[in-house]
Amino acid sequence: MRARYASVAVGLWVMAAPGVLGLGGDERMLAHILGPIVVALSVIALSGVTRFVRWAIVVPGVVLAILPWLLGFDTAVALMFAACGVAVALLAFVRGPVDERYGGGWTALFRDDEPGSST
Amino acid sequence: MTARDGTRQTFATTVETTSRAGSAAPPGWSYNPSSWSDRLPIVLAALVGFGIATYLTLFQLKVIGSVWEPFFGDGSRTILTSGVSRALPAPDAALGAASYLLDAVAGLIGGRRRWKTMPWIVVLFGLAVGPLGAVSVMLVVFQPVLYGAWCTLCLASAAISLLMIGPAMDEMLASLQELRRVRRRGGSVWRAFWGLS
Repeated sequence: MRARYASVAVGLWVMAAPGVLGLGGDERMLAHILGPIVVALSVIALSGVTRFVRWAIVVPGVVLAILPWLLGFDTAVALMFAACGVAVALLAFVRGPVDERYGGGWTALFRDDEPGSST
Repeated sequence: MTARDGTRQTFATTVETTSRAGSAAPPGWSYNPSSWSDRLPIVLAALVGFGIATYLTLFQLKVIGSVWEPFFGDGSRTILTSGVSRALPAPDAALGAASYLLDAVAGLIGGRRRWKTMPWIVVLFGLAVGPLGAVSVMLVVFQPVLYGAWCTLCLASAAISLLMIGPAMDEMLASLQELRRVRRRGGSVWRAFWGLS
């Protein structure tokens, strides 16, 4: 849960960074596309039943970590975005507590045997 | 959420796992995703979203002359009168309002066992909530990228539709698992989907 909130916070910062730091051009574009995606995926992954969505956050995280260098951003700006990208990508690996049981979850839909009561 | 957690903790100490969830809980579930305590918060969120989207529609239809914007100056006006917002025959806020209304109605139809008795409405509900969230994210990205502006109420609406997705998906999963069980037993998934068997 805390990992998701942290992920939401980092995503919101990426969304806000161009306005706060006065970034323009590609820097603004990158932040305004990837920020909302990180926030959206993190919010959806808040629920235990859709927790697996956290893995999708790795994609915008990695893009955020790599693209600033390829696009030749200012080193300080590139470092900031890279740190945010690495942070959300790593946070995606934290599952966090799931208190409820969901009858075997989504994988139960693809199993032939009766699902157990775990997950 | 809080109500459910509260119930869980109160009962967990005295009652065994399966019975605490009640007979209405799907097999292997620790709670019933179709219970009113689970569904009403989503319906409420949808109604708030409907209110916001209706207000924005009134502005887009020029019924009201100005729009509330506490943070981003002329942002809301820029976004709500932009090309994207008029790309479809109806103002985009009106489509949002219609989606929210569909969410609210689909959230209300059916009883506490609807994951089993009415899979069609649960699946419709899930499909209505999911794409609404996806469209919201797309519109959020469009705001600054295309127009360099933000719109407070549009962001609020997007946040609401995103928050609804996770809580709505548990019921969808319960219904899909039920259809899977019917199929495993050799029953008609089609009839089960419409609640005929």
